Amino acid sequence: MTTKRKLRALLAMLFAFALIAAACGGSDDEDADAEESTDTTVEAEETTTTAPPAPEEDGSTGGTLIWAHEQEPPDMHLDDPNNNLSITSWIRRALLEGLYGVSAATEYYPELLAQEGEVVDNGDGSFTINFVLRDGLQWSNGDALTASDVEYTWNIFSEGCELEDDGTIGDGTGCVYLAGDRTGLDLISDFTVVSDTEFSVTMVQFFAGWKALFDEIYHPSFGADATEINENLREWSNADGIFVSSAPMIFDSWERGVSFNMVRNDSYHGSASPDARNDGVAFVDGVTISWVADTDAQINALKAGEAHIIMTQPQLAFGERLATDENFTVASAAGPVFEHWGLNLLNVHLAKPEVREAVAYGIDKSEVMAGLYTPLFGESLPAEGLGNTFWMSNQGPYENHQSKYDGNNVDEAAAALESAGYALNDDGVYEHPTDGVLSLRVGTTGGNRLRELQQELIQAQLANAGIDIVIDNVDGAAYFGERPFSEEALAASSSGGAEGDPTIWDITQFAWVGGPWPGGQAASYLGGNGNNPYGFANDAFDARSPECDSTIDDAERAACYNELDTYVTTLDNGDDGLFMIPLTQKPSFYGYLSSVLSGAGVAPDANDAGPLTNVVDFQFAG
Amino acid sequence: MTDTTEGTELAAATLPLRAPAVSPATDALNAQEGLTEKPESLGRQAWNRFRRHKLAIIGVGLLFSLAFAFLVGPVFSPYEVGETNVLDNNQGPSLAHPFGTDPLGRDYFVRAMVGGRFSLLIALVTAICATAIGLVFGSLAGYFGGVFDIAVGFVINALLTIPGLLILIIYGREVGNNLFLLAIVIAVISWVRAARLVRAQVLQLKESEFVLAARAAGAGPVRIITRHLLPNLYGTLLVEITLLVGAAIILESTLSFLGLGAQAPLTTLGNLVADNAGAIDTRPSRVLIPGAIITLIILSINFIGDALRDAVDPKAADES
Amino acid sequence: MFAYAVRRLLTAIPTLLFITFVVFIAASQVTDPRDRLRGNANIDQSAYDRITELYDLDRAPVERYALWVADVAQGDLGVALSHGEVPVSEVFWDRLGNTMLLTGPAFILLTIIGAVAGVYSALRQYSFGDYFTTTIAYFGLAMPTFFFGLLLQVVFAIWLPNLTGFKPFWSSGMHLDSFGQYLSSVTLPVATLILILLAADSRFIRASVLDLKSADYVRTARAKGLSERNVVRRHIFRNALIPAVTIWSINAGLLFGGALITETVFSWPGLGRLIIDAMFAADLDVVMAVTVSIAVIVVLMNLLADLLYGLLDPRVRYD
Repeated sequence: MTTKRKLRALLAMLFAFALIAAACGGSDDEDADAEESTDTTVEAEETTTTAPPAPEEDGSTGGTLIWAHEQEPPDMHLDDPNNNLSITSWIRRALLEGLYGVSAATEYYPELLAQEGEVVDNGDGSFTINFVLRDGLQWSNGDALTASDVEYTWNIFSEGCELEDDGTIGDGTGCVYLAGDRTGLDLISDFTVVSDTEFSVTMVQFFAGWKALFDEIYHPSFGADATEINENLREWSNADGIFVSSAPMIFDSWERGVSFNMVRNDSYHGSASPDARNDGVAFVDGVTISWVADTDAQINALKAGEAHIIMTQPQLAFGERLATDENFTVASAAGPVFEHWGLNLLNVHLAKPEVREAVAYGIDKSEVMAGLYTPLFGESLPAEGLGNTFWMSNQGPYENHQSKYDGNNVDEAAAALESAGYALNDDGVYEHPTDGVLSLRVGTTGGNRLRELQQELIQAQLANAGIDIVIDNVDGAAYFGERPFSEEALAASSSGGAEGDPTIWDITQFAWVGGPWPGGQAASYLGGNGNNPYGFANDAFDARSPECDSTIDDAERAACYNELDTYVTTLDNGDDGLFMIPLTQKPSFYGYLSSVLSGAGVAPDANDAGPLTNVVDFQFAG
Repeated sequence: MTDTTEGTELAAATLPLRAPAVSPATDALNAQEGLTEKPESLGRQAWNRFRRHKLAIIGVGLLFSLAFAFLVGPVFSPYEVGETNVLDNNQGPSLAHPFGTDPLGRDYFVRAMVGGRFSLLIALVTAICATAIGLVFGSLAGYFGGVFDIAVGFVINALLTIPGLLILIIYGREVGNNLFLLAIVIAVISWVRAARLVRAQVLQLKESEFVLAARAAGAGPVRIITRHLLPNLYGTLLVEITLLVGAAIILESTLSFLGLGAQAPLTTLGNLVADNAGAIDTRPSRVLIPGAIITLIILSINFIGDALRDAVDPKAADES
Repeated sequence: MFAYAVRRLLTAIPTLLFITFVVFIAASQVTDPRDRLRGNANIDQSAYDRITELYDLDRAPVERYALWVADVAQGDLGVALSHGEVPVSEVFWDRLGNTMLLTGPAFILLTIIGAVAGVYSALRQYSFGDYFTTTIAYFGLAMPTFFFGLLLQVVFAIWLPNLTGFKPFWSSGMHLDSFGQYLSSVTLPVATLILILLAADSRFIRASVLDLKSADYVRTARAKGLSERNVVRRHIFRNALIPAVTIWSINAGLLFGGALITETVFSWPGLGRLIIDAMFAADLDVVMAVTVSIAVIVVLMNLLADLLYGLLDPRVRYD
């Protein structure tokens, strides 16, 4: 090589290198100050040529709201077992209303009703509930929404069912698969329309969750019979066109893989939600949901001005990238979903109450909160974590049943373990003379970063307490089928370990959904229930649970659920308790561009109804 | 490449024949088969050719310093790889934490070094396994021909019709928390090129005079393959292993990016990029550091691979 | 040549059967469409049974594979479980089209840029341009697709607009409202796909041109006084295309592999995202449909390459 050639080579390489470095944005300088980009984002939004349609400038109505979301539903059918996705019900929130809605405080409010339903005890064990609809309700095609529409909805649900002797649909034999969960519906023995706005429903016994029935009312044009409606619901349209709406939006079009589009319902009768500040039709012209691969890409889309609002799994990146940026608002509230560790009572170590207590002592929920949640979601969640599996911290009857274990109590954990005959081995892990080293596997559905970080943090906490935790996650929904809900594990659980394989899982971490009526939680703890993986079988609990559900007085019923919880989260009611360690509520939150959306129009959604729960309030900044 | 009609296949086929490599002349058979002949110092020749590639020397230096840092770096750090300190999280680079800390307050330098260690380990195991599989199938197909050749060719053709990543996507989630299984699954889809190279070379070598001589002297196929053919394949295999290490690192990190590869607490470079991808515009260093390490490793490997190919086979390498 | 093509296609059938068998068995071992139903209190046995029947899950995987082949032979690709149980074909063709919108321009640009860069750097060996393309090529080989895509996304779709107010590219999604929108959404993913493959492509062509430069007949052409321009055009360029045909057909297959990742990074609703989502959703028929389609495309591209060989190189005969 000549010198000249060498020089040329060097130059070319430098140039190429510079290009690549530029492409990589190779400057770490941006590192420290995330605020650097804050004041320019607005301009970006205004001057772009290819950005999404900019909001109209004529004040505060108009504009199409773009919501970036990752999970596209297979179809719009809600009760299809393959399609039990939050996103489907989130979208349907914007299209159909029901008798009751759920407010941000996770309480029922009369939505289509003019007032609370009136519960009448018929004296023979049955109950009748009298309902009155609001005046002026109408469908998007101008039809009045009347009691006969509710009756139509009931007829659709009960069509084809083989009725029991008492006139109820019973176990649902013969019913068209419209409602996957028939709890409550199966108790209805009579439906009577009294007038256009009045109707009454009779149930063979009291059902505490009655307000959740009829949370969507269908229009007779949806289909002539249940089978037809079942088919039409998938595409939200029938041969005559798109379904009419009773909520702020009307379905418009669905470009698979790209976007889902809705337009304003100009005939909307106004929201009855206590959280709504707009009682007329929606401000925005429409909503487009654009399908974006994952959380990181959604944040990118938001930052790039390609979306106005995103609602993701609670993610550190979300807070880290958006909460620090003045241009974005992260609205959060304590949601109804709670993270917990469930312990397998059939595990040789976890069968000992002392070991479960040691795990509870060893976990420092406060550190989990301080490290992972409070910095991002502020004070909306209690700093000491969650201590109840029936009531959530933002609900009135909530009590912290695990306050005894608050904080990091390594000494108490050690004492508990030593009382059960464990001793520290050379590796600093407790070991039982016959049952071996105290090493437990914790598993969850992989891919949720915040949850994985939480696992890793608790793993480190328990390591300090001499408990070895092995993380054993399985990707996707397969986790449930392979671990706690596999046939072998469930068989072992319902037979007390006599059948099946109790060693498939030790500790499972995932989230249950709470709600305004928490009675459904008990199903996971009932002895012998095919859906109870924990190996918990307590006769007193099994007897008390239906008593709670049939308690008519709201306050008494709430207290009863608290009592049920003490079986689950404490050792107060027997040595088989304390197999659930609730960690925290999953904050329900979303982020939006403050400059584009007017902040007042976006309320944090605490009932997991999705961002569209208050779609009527969304408003572009003027 | 001298023939323009057959492309790459030919490059391998035209490899020069080399005299058998050094082996102790203790066996009578050795003498019979001509193995006692004092070989000219081929290694030295190759080394001399290799040395001429300045980039390769840089590559070797870079790779060894990275590997050294991966091994030794964590030892000198006061932090453990899984040691969390949430109150100290999301720090930028500082004296205490040269690469900063992650969202759990773990030292990012230690994580990057340990991640590099595992990534390299997975890649090495993959490369060796894939080359071994390729060697077995390639030499069977090349030496015995016939049914073997047809069968191996069939499997190779089939594997080439779909992206290997597709098979990894299916199986990756099953083996994500087992380092060696992961490496082996990656190897199972990566052996094709090695097998083709080996086959082409064996095909040619088995007609060469020294193999014919050995056969005439009564050596069986196993002996011929292991004592006569294999030594002539060392160069090709070395190049192949080198290049496969790079390919394996890319595959492993891509799998991790899709959420299917190594699972926590296993730390690999791909994991680190994927887990911190969300922080790319606020804490770019957390993505750029592991990303740059991956890039540097593969860059060095490619430099070395090119030079090695030239060193063991001067005719086939291109003239850069 | 026609007979040759038919014969080649026929011999491809066992190959396709083998590879789909491998993928089918692998996929049915690691996924069960019923998994997601477990742990859901609202699901009763009838839902399990329905899925069991839909996929013949009570039979052995090998039997199910045979049934699947029989269905596909009749043009029935099965049911897309995670898309509302519609026939797979309803989902599939749209997605294939979307992938083509991404890989098509990538393939054309890759071929042109690769050929230009390869020929240029071979003819001007050791020039600035040669070193430049070689260096780019080395980096292209060394960067994982997702890492490069991520960088492009952040730099051009987020930082650039935030700093300058000029926003030329979308960071995610496919936008077909107008040609301009299409261009601005396809540019970054196409750039990602190209950079990764450009390296191998241009280096291959460079090497084959270098070989030709010193080939005997080229020397003869020069000796008889042909201008360098004509030598390059008539003798080198055309002959360099012959081996390049191979790498182009390989590229077509690699582009589909690259699209698996690129579509995920850029939220492009193509086959790549379809199959990854389907894998997570245990949507077996969709997984198989995508596998088959990619395999068929690769087989066809290989055949096309071989046929082109014949057109370009008179010495190749099909018999």
